[in-house]
Parts: sequence; C-alpha cells; structure tokens
Amino acid sequence: MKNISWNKELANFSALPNADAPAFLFTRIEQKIATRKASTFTPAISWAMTSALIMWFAIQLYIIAPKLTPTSKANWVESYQLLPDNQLYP
Amino acid sequence: MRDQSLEEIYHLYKNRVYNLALHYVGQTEDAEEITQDVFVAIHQSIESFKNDSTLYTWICRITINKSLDFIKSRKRKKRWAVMTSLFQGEIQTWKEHFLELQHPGIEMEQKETMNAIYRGIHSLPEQQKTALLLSKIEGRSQQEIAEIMETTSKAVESLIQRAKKNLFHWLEQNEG
Repeated sequence: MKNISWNKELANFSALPNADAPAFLFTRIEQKIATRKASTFTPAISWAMTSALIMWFAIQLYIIAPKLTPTSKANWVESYQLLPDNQLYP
Repeated sequence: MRDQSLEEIYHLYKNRVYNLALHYVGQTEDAEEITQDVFVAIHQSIESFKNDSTLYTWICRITINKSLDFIKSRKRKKRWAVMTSLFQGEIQTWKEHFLELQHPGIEMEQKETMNAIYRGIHSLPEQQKTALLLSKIEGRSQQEIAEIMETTSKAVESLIQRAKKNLFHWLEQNEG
C-alpha cells in the first residue's frame, strides 16, 4: 500500500463511529453472575476445608513420626527378610 | 455510585467498554466476551470501589486489564497451535483471523488500510498501545489517560509520541 498518508489513515481510524454493544449482552452478564454465585465456595467453606486438611496432615504426622526411628528401620529390614550382608546365597 | 444498580451502570458504559475492547482484540465475539467479564468484575468489586477516581476511570482500567489478559491468553493458544498443528494452512488462517478488525463502521474500501492500522497498533508494546487507543479512539485527554494508566501526563505524552512513531515505522516496513 504505497503512497498512503498513514497520518491521514490514523485520523480515519480514530474517526470510526462507535459500534453498539449487542442487545442481549446484559442477559448473558446476569447469567454469568448467577452461575458464579451458584458454584463459588463461600469463604467459610474454604476455611473449613483448609483447616480440616491441615488437621488431617498434622494427625498423620503425629501418628507416623514416632515410627520413623532407627529401630523401626531395622524391623522393616527384618520383616522383608533382607540379608544384612552382600552375600546372595547363604 | 454503589447505589446505582449494575443495570444502570451497564446502560451508561456498555458501548464505551465494548468499543475499547473491540479495538484491543479486533473480533466482535471476543469483545462481547470481554464486555461480559468486565461487568461481572464490576458486580463483584463495586463494594470495594473507593471513589478515589471516577467510575469511568475505574471501569476503563478493568476493561484494559481484561483486554490485555485476553490478548496474552490468545498468544499462548497461538503458540500451542503452532506446536501441535501439522498443517501450515491452518496456522496461517488462524493467525490472519485474529489480525483483522471486525468493526461494523468500516466500509469495504477502507478495510485494507484499517486492518493495516489495527495490525500496526497490535504490534506496539502494551503501554504505548493503551495510550494511543485511549487518545485516538476514546478521545481522552492526556490528563484523563494519565489517571486511567496511573501515571503522569508527561509520561502519557511520551508514550503517545513513541506509539505514533513506532506505528508509522511498522506500517512503512510491513505495509508498504
């Protein structure tokens, strides 16, 4: 597109008449708002779920942690009947 | 302003939001999507609107942010399409589709040059693009643009100057 005055074209671009927003848009907006309200967790529910999850992790750690001792590791080895040396055959 | 219902605010500002979004994204369907998202965001955040700017300034900022987020999302999808598509033709068609301005006010004889201008504006950095669109399309003063972009008038003036310079340079290089 040679010999075009881009300044003039930019002025034409600026002078484009405003387009009208479609008539049905507000209905769709209301539908979107209603959908979001129906599906969004309330802050209370979110906090309750987060707290429950943290408590569950804490309880698991409380139960498991004492079992992670050197003695328990040795018992684990014994329970699998693993050989303590590198001999494949006794 | 909180006493105004969403419907009142919608009828006051719908065309401005729609037009601004349209000039960012080029496609009427995408501009409709962004307009919906803007008013949903207004509904969610109106209680936290602090009156430290005009309602229109606030709505403009939301529109600009939503439009820019949409463009970034589109670029990510385009990168993914390039990676996954086996057919060169499909990629090219996809790319051309999103670099056209679907504006009802454009007459047939203007279409090529208007699309060229749109592609040129689309190539600008975000800040320059925003300043230029608010100045040329919205007809905002530098002071109003500075308030919307949360910067100074001098910075806006500089952004507009650089935007025009870069735009004309891009048009000379790419469109002849």
